[in-house]
Amino acid sequence: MLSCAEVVRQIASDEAVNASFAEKLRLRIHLAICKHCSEFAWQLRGMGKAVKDASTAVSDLEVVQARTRIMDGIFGR
Amino acid sequence: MDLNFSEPGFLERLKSRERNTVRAVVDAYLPQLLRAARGMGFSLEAAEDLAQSTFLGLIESAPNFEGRAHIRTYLFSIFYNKVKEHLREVIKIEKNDPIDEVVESRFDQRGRWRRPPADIEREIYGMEAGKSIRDCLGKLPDTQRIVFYLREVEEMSTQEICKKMDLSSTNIGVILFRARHHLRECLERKGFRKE
Ligand SMILES: [Zn+2]
Repeated sequence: MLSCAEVVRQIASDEAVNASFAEKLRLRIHLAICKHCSEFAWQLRGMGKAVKDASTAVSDLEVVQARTRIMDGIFGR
Repeated sequence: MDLNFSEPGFLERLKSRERNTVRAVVDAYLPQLLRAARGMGFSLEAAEDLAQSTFLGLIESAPNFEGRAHIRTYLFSIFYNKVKEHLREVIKIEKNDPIDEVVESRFDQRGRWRRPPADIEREIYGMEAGKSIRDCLGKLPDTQRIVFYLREVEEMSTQEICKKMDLSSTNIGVILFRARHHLRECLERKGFRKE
């Protein structure tokens, strides 16, 4: 039986993604019966999505200013 | 705009630094490069430098890439190489990260939850949480933030990150483990709990 700590370690370190079929099955069984670990897994998945949404926006003005400086940098003033 | 190396004369014009051609490439890809660099935690200034050296790298190495790849793919491989160089300078895989102890403290000796994850309000994963998430991301060490970004936002596999960043998969595992726990603990501390 996998311990919760081990399940959490495998999920957080991505070992779960790269695991064999048998290992994934063991994990899935644990998650099916363990409320806390499945909450944890759910939170990590949500966090990934949230980070994608929250990813730093770059404003049009910043792009325009950067472009001017970069063109100057490449071609010299 | 879809630029392609196979377009007749394009590569020649790029090689000879024809202004409008360079400008077209910069116009097409600067926003993506800046967004990626900012997402990895580079300051606006550093992101700009990184983008500029990526474009210069493209111009300088254009002769080697006769029509081989789509320009975006090629440009981003140059970009990731620059990120890798940066990672090499900043990389620190600490023997101990304080987060390891925090994680440990959540379990008893037999690996059962002592302090289970708090029931985080589902809104945390909606639009409202942007600022908190950026706050928490900002607290991550550089290495963790870059690897986490590549994994979650760019959706690279561990294998791809290994290859592009020249890190072992064991190290990537440790880095991801810490980054995710740091973020989760940080969000939990911010009090997104269901009462
Ligand atoms: Zn469990």
